[in-house]
Amino acid sequence: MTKSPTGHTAFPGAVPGAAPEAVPGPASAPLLSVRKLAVTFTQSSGPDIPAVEGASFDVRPGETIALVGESSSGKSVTAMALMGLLSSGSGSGAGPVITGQALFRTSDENTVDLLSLPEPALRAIRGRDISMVFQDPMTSLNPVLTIGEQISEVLMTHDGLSRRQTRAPVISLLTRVGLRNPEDLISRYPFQLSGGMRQRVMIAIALACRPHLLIADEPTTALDVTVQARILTLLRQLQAETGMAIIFITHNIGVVAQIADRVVVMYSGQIVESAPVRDALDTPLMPYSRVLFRTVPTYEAVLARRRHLPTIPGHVPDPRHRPQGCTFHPRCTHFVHGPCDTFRLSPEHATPDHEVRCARWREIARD
Amino acid sequence: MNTVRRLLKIRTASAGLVLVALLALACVLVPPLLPRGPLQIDLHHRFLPPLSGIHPLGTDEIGRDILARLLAGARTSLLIGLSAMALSTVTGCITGGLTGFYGGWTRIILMRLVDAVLCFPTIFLLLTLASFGQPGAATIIGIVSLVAWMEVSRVVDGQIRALRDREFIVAVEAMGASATHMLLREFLPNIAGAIVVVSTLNVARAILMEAYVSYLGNGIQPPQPSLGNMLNDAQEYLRPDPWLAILPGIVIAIAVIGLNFIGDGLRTALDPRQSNASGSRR
Amino acid sequence: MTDAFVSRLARMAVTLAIVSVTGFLLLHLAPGDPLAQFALSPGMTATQLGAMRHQMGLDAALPLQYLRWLGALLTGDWGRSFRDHQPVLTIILGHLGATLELAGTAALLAIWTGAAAGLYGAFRQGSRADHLITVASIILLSIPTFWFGLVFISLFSVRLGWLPSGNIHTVGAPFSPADYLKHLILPATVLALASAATWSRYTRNAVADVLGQDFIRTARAKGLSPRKIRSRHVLRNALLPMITLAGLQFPTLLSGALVTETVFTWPGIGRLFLDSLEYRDYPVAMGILMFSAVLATAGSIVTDALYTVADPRLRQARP
Repeated sequence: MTKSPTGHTAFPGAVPGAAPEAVPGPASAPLLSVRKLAVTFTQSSGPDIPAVEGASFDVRPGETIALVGESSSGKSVTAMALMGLLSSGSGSGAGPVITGQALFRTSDENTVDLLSLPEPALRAIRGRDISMVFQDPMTSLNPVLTIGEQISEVLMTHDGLSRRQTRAPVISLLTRVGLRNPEDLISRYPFQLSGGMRQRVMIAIALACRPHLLIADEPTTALDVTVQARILTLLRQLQAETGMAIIFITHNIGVVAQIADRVVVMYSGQIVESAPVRDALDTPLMPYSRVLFRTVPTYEAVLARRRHLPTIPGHVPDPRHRPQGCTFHPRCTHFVHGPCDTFRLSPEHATPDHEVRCARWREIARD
Repeated sequence: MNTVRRLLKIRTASAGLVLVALLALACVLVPPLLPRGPLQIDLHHRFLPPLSGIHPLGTDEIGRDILARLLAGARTSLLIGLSAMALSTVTGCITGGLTGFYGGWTRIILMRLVDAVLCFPTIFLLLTLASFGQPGAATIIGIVSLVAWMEVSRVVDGQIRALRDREFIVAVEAMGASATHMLLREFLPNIAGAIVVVSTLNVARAILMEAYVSYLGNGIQPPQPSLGNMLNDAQEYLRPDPWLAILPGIVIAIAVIGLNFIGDGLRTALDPRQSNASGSRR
Repeated sequence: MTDAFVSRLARMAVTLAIVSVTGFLLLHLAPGDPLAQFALSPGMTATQLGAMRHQMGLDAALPLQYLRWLGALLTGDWGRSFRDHQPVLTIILGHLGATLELAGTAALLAIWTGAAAGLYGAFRQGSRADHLITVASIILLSIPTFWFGLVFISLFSVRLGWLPSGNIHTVGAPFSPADYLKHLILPATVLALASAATWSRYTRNAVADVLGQDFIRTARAKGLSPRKIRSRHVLRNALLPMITLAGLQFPTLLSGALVTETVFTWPGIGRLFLDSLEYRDYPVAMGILMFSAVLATAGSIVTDALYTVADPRLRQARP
């Protein structure tokens, strides 16, 4: 997966800032505003596991946020927490402890806190105002239900349609996500479809109720390269049509450059840097982001060559025993004794738009 | 060891260990302290209820001490269980190892045979087998192992076949290790856990099978006490003395529940998914 | 019918062949003589016994006996009992009804209670009720069926006098459904206990397995209610492993029936098998073995067919 000669030029909407005109500018009120989100998994035996610590970020209407980080950096947990999918959902079976606030503007213009909303109210938002596309389209669809049944049940749940009434919208959804012969597809089962087709079905399910926010959790990771490119194009195109915002979770830097307006970098459960895509890729301030983007110095170079995160010596720290001070310091080339390993750091504004969590970002910026 | 610590943390498993340990200790330590042996008849004191005089659990239809008989029966049951387990584990490991390792026709024939045998209702098979040879402990050990080895064999076969494709095994094989070396050094440590689980559950199963066979009259023969044949006797005396039926059942239950709890706990403790449950989430 | 079906039939034939050879060898090689019962009757001479032996075909070589038996079986002749010379098939069919009624009732009881308990536990994983059901299931599976029989008899029949302790109906009384049901309750419950425990454990694991799948998360992300998710997504998928168990339970139920029939003097196949072993009545014993093997393999074929109906992956894979 190191290089792919195909597909990367066909992204008319890929230039950051060139968001669809229907969408208000960055100054408009955020659609989703996450403040100090923390997720802690408690175990009956053993220490608590803080999966996410103090994450704050905004998502504006129509904007695409890329949530970047290594495995177990907390990016999926963040998404699942926003969707309220971390608890078992069946009453008992305690989920993790979630604190913080996530204010979201629903389609009926109410502002609600997703983290404190009771489950039935949250259920009305899930699949309607906020949808989610998952990583593995092979396992994310129910093997014993037809494609038609799986799409129509969203419409039946949220729009109160009857089974018969959903046929037309389902077919139009399948067409919109670029699937041919939709009349035939609705009676097919997932195992009869390729991975790319299944992911398109997943996207159709997510888009069924015209959500304002789509959370895509590594939606292309499980697909092969050419299919990845097509799915990305599709998402861009659908975003242009609907004006929805996207939180795109990925560890593929090439994808970040293609699709994101803003980049949020997570490391070991914390947001370590957050900036517009061009700043993030061209002048990253946090050493971790610098390593991430180092081998790909410019935005254009990234666009030209899709890459995975480079490997960094050392390991992501065990969440139960995170280092003192900056959690990245054991692996950091800019480490100095004192400022880096004494206190937990808070994010600082390098520019009004660029936040960074690093004790030495000023010196790094001067380099 | 890590596994032991995890096992002890499972409440049912430690309860099982305690139950089985207590029963085994009682079988060894208590009989010498009892005034009457398990075969001593006393027609003047028949059908005594529990807690009467020198008979802590009462007497049976011909005045034998029930506690003495229960402990003798439990000892026989435990011995049968352990021996049958040992025999079936060894047989199962050898056959399963061979079929899993070499595959081919041996495997097809063996698995067909296992399928066919599983077609017989277990009790039918046990009873038919029991008509061979003198009824007694040795025969029961033999027939129970004859039925039980297949499960071990299946597990070993399945585990080895699953392991064969794993990288480290492929690497060892590529380095030219001999088959014996592979089986003993590479496979055995990796499947030991699964074998321990099946074997523990097999001890429990063997004790149950003994009870069934003896209850149906084809196992341990009177006057030798066995938990199964005591229940057979008891059926005739349900009216005067239900204790005769209740007590042997409780002893069987203690042994088998204990072993099943241990086996179940081992399965959980040895499950690799348990050991890294510490939040390997993205 | 497809290749898969044909190969399945072929495998069934191989299994049945192995069952018949092993069964035949075991029964005939076991010590004991079917003529022992006649040898004791007064006025029986050695010559007469020899003649009988010849007439029964017991003096032939074992392989020849087997081939004769097999040949007859393939033409539909199951042989005649050594004891009373009745046709084996008649005898078996005469006892089969009682066993099927008992085992069928028990199976229904077991599936309903077991699956309900398993579902309850799986939907409340880690709760007190879940632990309780798990522990109760292990306990039920750890106690021999017949002990429950004895305890129930001593409680409900001897002590309380509510229910009869044995037989299929009151001796001498005319048949009445109420009387029959009264006789059925205890044995069916006893036989159902262990099976219910198996069902509960199995259902719990199957459902817990499905609940952990990605598509359940998808269903939740769609905003479906827990109820909808259970009925549409969980149950449909958990049904597949449960169908498998239904097939596997068959031999187990027969084993249990044999013991339960002994405890409750229920005139079924199990008792018949015990008696035929006792008297070395080979034709009847072989007949029962073959009958149960055929039922078991047929059961697994029906299971497969149901599986195909329930799982679209298999349904559509057929050409």
